[in-house]
Amino acid sequence: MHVMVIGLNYRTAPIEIRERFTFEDDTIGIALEKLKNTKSVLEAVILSTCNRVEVYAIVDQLHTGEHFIKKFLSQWFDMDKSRFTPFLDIKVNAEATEHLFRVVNGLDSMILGETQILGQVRHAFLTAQQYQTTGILFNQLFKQAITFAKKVHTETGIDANAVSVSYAAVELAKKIYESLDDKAVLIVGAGETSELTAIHLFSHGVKQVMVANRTLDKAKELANTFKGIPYTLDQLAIALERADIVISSTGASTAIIDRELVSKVMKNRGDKPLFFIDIAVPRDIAPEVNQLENVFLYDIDDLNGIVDINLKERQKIAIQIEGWIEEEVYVFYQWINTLGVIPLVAALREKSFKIQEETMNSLQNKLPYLNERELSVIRKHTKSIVNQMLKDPIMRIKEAAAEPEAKEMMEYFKSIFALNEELIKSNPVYENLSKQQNASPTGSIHWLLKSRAGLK
Amino acid sequence: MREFTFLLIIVYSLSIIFYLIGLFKNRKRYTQLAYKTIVIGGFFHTITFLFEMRTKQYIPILTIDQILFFYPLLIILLTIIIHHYFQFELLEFSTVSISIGLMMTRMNIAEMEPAIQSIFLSRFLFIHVVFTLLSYVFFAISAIFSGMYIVHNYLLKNKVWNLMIQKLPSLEKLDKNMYLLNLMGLPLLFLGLLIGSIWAGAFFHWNFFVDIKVILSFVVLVMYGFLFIQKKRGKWVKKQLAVFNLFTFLMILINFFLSYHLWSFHQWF
Repeated sequence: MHVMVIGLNYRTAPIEIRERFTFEDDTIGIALEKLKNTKSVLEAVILSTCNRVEVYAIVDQLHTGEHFIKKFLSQWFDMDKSRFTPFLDIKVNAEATEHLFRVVNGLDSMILGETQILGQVRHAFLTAQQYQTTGILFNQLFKQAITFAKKVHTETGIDANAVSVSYAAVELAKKIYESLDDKAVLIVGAGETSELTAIHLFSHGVKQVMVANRTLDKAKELANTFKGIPYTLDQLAIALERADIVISSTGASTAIIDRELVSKVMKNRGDKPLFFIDIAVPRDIAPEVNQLENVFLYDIDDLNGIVDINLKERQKIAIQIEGWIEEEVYVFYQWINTLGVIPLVAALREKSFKIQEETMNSLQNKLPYLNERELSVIRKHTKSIVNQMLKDPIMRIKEAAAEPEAKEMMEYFKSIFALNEELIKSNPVYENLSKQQNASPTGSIHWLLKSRAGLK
Repeated sequence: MREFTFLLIIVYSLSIIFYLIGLFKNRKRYTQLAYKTIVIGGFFHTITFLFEMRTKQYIPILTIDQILFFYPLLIILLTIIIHHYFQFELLEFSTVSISIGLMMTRMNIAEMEPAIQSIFLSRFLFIHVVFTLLSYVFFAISAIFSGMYIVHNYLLKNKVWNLMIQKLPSLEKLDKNMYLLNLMGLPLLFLGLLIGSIWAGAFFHWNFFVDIKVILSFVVLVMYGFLFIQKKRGKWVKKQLAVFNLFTFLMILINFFLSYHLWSFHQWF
């Protein structure tokens, strides 16, 4: 059995292909069920976002699995295989597992370290669980990946700082004002970036928007988008007095807001600070304005500088996370390796507790005068003896399962504790594993051992 | 007592180290560890204080070395309380640093035993000392916020984008906290001085007013009152308020330390 991921993303496929490859929320269940019923596929999760579509699957054979998943994609999206195959990104086993950890942590995202993808992976996994297309392996792998990503975000705060100009402006505004809820934004000029910045500020709680433009009609047009108040540039002083954040992006060839104007405005504002964001080139606001007390002026270069620093910081954290991912993938394989011994351990425990129970029955027959409380105490203590006796052998066999000579060790284990095949196979744990993996438990670790060799 | 102080300095220094690692490596695990270390330190600090109180059979806040043990304890306890409302590593780092500084000063001062007279066991005196010290704790943390405001304002003005600015809360929040803490400290200082005056008036027949420490204490009260009025009037920009707040706290420190070396009124031994 193998872990496989087949998909395409913003790096491998153009938008024309990506926009055709989208699983809709209302039909994803059908897609999952169809995929699960595809030959060779044992478990499946579909991750579908605007930047990537990926099919995660546990397949019994690599080539067969790949062939049938491609066929499924071709049928589902009604597209010839030859059209999308060149854009597919296919990873298997250790690479596929590592890929999932990178994706869930936002290391493979267009905006490095973004956290939205964590929610999307979680949603994809829960949907797959709902349609019962996950099993032992994906339940463990996805849970581990999601938990790890949550921990990483809390620990490193990789997404804490802005990596786009408009978000950097919002971040700066939040460095001046505790909350943007009661703040007023003035948009000077109707540029695209200033509008985008205003939208971001709006989504962060800003309620009052004013628009000042050379022509009142254009100002009204943009103001209507935010239910704001329009002004002409002649009324700039009045608007500045009422504003807390000013985003300027006109096409003027000289500064339209100078020190003298702002100085006059500030006298009427008491101790209220004023934050200017000048996105225009040439600049709309004279740089001397920043010399005034309580006034903060940032132009496009300043904002780009912040974005660069934040991006470098994210890249530094990303390198750190890559190291942790290697460890996490290793932990997953360690867990996988112990899967082979789970039926043995379960059989040993079953056998031991059967002996304990028989001993208790014999004791009860020989000492009939024991009351319920005394029996309960003895039962508790005999169980404790069994548990303590089993603790070390179980720990040792789990460790040995990760070694190259695991198969031999398991044979010894079976032989020493006289665990015959019948006992192992009659255990419900074995049945579950067999059902899930469609193979013998000890056989299922072969691909993992190969993958682990690649990891180390 | 000296050995305990030394041990507490070590514990608090450990938390400072954890904070530094946490801040520079940007790992919350270390800042959480730092906070836990403060809680452990605060617990032993309290136990030591209570033990001392039991041994001496009075509340040990009469001599400067006792105050230099009690004052950091109040700062640490307030830091732990503040942590429950908002986690702000730089503030915790600063308050612990101040506490270490105060306790290190204590290490250089000989332990003193006050000549206990019945007048010193008065409840009035106790309330006077506790209220005044509590107001100093609020003013100390307020001064930390002022310092942060000045630094933050400088970084924003000069467009310096670094770890420090990323960790600092907004200017508005710093100003609000500064104001809130002064608002809590001012009535406490007023009551502390009023009760102290009534107590001293009864025993020293109002001669105590010629003491420079007493005069400075009232000057500090007036300065905080002035700061409060200026804030309300909105005529000063917030940076001016922060600078003045810092300067007023400097007056407290001068009053607190220098007066012990230069004047004798508050020395109960």
